[in-house]
Amino acid sequence: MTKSNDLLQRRRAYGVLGVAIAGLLIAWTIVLPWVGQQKSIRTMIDRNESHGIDPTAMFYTELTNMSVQNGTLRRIPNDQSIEQ
Amino acid sequence: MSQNPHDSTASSDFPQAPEISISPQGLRHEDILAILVGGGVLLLAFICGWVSILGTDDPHPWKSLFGKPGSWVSNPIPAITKSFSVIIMPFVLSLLAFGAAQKFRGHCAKRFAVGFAGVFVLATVAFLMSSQETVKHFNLEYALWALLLGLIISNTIGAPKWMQPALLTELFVKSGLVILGAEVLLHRLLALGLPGICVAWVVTPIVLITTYWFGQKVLKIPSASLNMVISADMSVCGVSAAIATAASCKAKKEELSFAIGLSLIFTVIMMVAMPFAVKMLGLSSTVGGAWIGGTIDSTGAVVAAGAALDRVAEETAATVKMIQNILIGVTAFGVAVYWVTFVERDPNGARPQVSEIWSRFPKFVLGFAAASIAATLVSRLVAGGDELVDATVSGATTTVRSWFFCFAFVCIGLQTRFADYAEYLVGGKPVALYLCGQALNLILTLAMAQLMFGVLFAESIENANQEPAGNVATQSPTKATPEPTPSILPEKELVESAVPK
Repeated sequence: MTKSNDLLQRRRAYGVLGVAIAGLLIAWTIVLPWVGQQKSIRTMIDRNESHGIDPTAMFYTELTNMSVQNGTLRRIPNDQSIEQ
Repeated sequence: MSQNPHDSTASSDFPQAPEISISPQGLRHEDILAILVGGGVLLLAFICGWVSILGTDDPHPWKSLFGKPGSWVSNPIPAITKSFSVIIMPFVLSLLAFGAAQKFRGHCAKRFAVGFAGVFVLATVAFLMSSQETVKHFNLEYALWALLLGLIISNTIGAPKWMQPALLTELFVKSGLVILGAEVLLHRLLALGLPGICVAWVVTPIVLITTYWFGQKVLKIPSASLNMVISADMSVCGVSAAIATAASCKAKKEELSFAIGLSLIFTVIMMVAMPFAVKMLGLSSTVGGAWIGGTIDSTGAVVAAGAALDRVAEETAATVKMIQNILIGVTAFGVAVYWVTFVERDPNGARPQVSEIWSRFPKFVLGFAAASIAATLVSRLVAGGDELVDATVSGATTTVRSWFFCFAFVCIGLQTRFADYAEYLVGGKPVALYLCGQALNLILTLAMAQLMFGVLFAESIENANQEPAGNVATQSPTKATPEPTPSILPEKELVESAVPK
């Protein structure tokens, strides 16, 4: 009885995990790409892309298109820009 | 959780460890291992950089070897296949470094390697989730997804037993922090000149201390460490500050993850709302940029919000944030000293002796400080050192420490139940703390930005911004037409604060 309960619980746990993974897959491959195509969001994404901004940078050293020169942050030129 | 703020370390996840001695036992202390791992990675990266790029403009050799999954829109498979070659090296390096540390501590390296493979796969998926285009541009960082993946597993099937030997949250966090130390270049604290220093240096400590005091005395938040982590991530620089202060004040894992979740949610809101607020209030680009830089938690979101206004606002925001980023070193050190001196001591006992303070002091902070000082000295004193440090940090060590932090958040998720977060939501005190602290931050930063950039230095900044572009390139990588150099400093200060080569 306990063994079958354990088995049932384990199956349920794996079922929930499967549903969560499916939910994440749907969100990341269908919903989020759709959200990214909405006009206001697209404008923001395009602006960031054109400025070479990585909004996920955690620290200033991750702003790879900015360089500390002459005491202030300056955008680095095309030929020196670091490829993302 | 403890009801007494002074007991907050009793069940800490960054616990007080036995006193360190120069003996094989003492060297196995977690903080010392973190210094050895983090310091070893830094040393290796700097030696590789020194040998191959000193005196040249070449990128660091690790740049083509170490990376993270690239950006994608709706199909992640090309992002994985393209970046496969650059995620192998972080795996190999981490496996060797932490495997050796575990072996040194007397644990089975083979069992660690098996578990670590699982942690690494989850970390890779977390990076992949954060690099989806929409997620990326809303600044929803990998820490959130690493945590979520771990939580989903631990709250459904539970963390697998074979992964347990690799769930080394503290070691991953502290090693990452030692590496982060090399990014805290002290001479860049002076890079912005007086207006920015006033915004970043004066307001930030005031907000941090006031918010912490408010949380303890007015809101009476039961956990002092949670209060400190929220106060620091809100006032200094988001996730990185939260990680550093959590380790310094020995916060619980769920306190760190809760504070980061809170910070990221409000970062998204502020990233969208702040440019509108600047326009509504009719602020100038420099004042608006300084306001954004001083208030939005996350560095990337600061730049994105500044760019929503214009180039001058973007650069001002980025530079103010850079100064705040560097304050992370002072904050981590100050919090560690304050904690062992005042918070952890017996309120009825005598003032602790120096030896007692030393025994409680989180030693990894010394590794963090040593890395910062060493990188600053190399940058300032060695010919070509500034370029070497920049290339090593941006081309090598930022990637490695991002992986270390990501491993840590996967581990936190795998070791936490959703129910652990419930107590933080009851009564809403932590959320109230964040909101009150951020409100104070918004008011004080706006006042200081207006005073410095809008009144005292307004004319000289305006003149400097009208200067035509000089040798310093200002062109966006994708823009065809050059724009005048936006500068947030008076010309004289630009020269004075120039970093000597």
